[in-house]
Amino acid sequence: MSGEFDVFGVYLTSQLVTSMLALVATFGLNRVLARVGFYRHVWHPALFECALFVVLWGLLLSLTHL
Amino acid sequence: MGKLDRASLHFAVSTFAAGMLALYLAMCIDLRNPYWSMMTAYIVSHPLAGAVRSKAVYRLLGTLLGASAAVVLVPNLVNTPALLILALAFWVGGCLAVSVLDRSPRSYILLLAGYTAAIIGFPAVNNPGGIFDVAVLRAQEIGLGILCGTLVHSLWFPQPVGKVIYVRLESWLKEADRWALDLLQGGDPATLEKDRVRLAAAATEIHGLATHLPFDTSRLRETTAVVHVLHDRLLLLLPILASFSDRLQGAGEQSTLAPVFGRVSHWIESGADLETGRVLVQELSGALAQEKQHQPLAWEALTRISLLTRLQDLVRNLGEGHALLAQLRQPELTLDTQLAQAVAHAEARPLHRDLGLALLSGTAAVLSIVVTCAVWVGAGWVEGSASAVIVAILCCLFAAMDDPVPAIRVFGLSLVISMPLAGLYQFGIFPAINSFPMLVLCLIPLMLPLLYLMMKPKWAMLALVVLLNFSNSLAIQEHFSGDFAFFINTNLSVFFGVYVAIFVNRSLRSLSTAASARRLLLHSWGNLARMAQGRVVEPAAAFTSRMVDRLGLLAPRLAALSDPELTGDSVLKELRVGMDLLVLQELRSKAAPHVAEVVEDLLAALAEYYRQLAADAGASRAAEGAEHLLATLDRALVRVSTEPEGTDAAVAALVGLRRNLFPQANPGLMSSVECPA
Repeated sequence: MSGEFDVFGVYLTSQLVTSMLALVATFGLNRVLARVGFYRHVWHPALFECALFVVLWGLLLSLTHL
Repeated sequence: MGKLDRASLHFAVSTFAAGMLALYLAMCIDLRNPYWSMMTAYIVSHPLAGAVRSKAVYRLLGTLLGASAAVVLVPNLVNTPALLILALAFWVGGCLAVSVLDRSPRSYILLLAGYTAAIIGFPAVNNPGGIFDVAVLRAQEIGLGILCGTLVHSLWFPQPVGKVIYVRLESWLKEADRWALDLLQGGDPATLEKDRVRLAAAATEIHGLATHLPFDTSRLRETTAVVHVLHDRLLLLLPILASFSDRLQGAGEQSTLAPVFGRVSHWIESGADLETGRVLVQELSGALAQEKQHQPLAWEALTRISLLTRLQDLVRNLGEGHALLAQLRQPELTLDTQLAQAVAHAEARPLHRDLGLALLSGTAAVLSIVVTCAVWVGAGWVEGSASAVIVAILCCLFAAMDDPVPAIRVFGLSLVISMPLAGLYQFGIFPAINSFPMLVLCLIPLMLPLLYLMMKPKWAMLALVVLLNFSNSLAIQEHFSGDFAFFINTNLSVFFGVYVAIFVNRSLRSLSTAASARRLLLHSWGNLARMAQGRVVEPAAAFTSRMVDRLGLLAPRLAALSDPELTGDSVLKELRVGMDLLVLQELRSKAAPHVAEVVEDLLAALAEYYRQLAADAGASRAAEGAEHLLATLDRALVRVSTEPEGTDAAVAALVGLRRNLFPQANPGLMSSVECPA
């Protein structure tokens, strides 16, 4: 979970990069879920989105940890 | 009242929580100015969750853009200060002009891009090498604040925009029903007068709310397209209802229409079902045909035709409005095929734009910045950069107002209030505490009441700027604590900036309420002249959206003003004229040559009439052009009304024009035109 990514000579912390990736993934997944009409069955959509982000970020970290 | 207060309290508590979360996290990760994060969390807060989320996205994008601009501009131009100042000034002015022109929440991107570049760029002039670090830090601080504000407002009992919009739409439609019923059953005209303007303002408000909808936390966000189409229907209902009410006064003998009115009002009372509505429209066509039997048509018969056509429009739009509202309530319902198509092709509607005003705002920003920078650089006053920053912020924040000067004065006043407060906290209280919980406890008595006041329209402005200035002062002082000369110099420089902003804006930018209302009218006239000429062809809903937006802008200004010449009615009248123009333009392209010819003449005369109005600012309304117009209008009316069929809409439009433009003209005049010379 430590270390930095080198993006064209600018060093970015891995947390920033992975969280951004997770955020993009969350937005994408959200759009799909909304299109399907999934959110009609969710009590608190914003909370669900937030949880989705945390789950995806966790997933990403455990995958890249290796 | 009690309920309202609880909502304000809820807002205050959750916003305070967001601010403290931002402050805590910023202190944890050792950002340079944690109070900036807190301040940002306060700025993005809004009682509606969707508005917070849309503002947050736009704000974040704007901040990144502004920071990038500063990083690019400052190191490259720092050796030629004059050029750097001009570049930054034009960046701020350009961004401001575009964002004033746009007027949607999206305009926040450029507004932020403008003054973030100033906030980062000007102080960095003294130390251009460190600008990249400063820009990154500032972006982090602001980003953290936005994140905390968004999180708290989305998760902690969010107030979805969707619910509010639904309630507004429902009550709007109910009022439109009420208005229609009053008209059909013969209500009191004086009370109806006020309803009109209020409904227009409400329509604009709904539009403003709807732009936040895609970011909402409620499931209504999936129905954005339905809301847009419903909003279009509401916009069209305004001129229809107004015309209908006008025609009622001029229709003369109405006893033959009583059964029709009865059926329509029964239909509205029983919930305005779409299917039944379509049947009603058919019935109305029958009544129309009956009216047309007695040729040649007298003025009153023509008015009745116009009346019935408007009634058809009314039934159609009310029916569709109710069907769409039902769809919002229960998304599972399947929509009528015709409406479903409209929903699939829904798009955002244009708003009123004022290029001149936008350029003026941009110029005022550029000039103010150049003046402050000339003093700052010319006098070698190191802390002078604060005045350039404050000028940029002030010009941007208050650019949307007619006259920004009073707001800037309030800002100056709030500085006087907040600086001693910040000093008290910084030097009197903070040295005595050593933990974050204590800090929060100390901030509660000051911030909770201020946040609470932000929800009260009367105090909102002062509360917000006191809060901002307080946070800002803390940020400055923490960074350079103890340096009294710096403290005094910076504050002096801020006051100097406020003074310059007032001076420049007052001499360049301030519009009186009357001037601003007149400006809106001039824009409407110009719009109509261009339309009549056929240079602009736009869909009815787009034109209506822009005109209703003007009406909505005008309503509060007219309330503050008691000029007998200016009433909300004038814009509503132009709106109706515009709708009639659209019908006539269609007729011109479709009708037989001998009809198209008179319509062509009429459109040319109308274009001339409105061009004169726009040029003379409404001074010479009773010019001889008007007489010519009336004659042309009557000729067209006679020609069109003797056509065998397919001209109901055109007759309605012509009658509408005559009633709107020449309400006093003698209808008997028409007979003189009837026998062509």
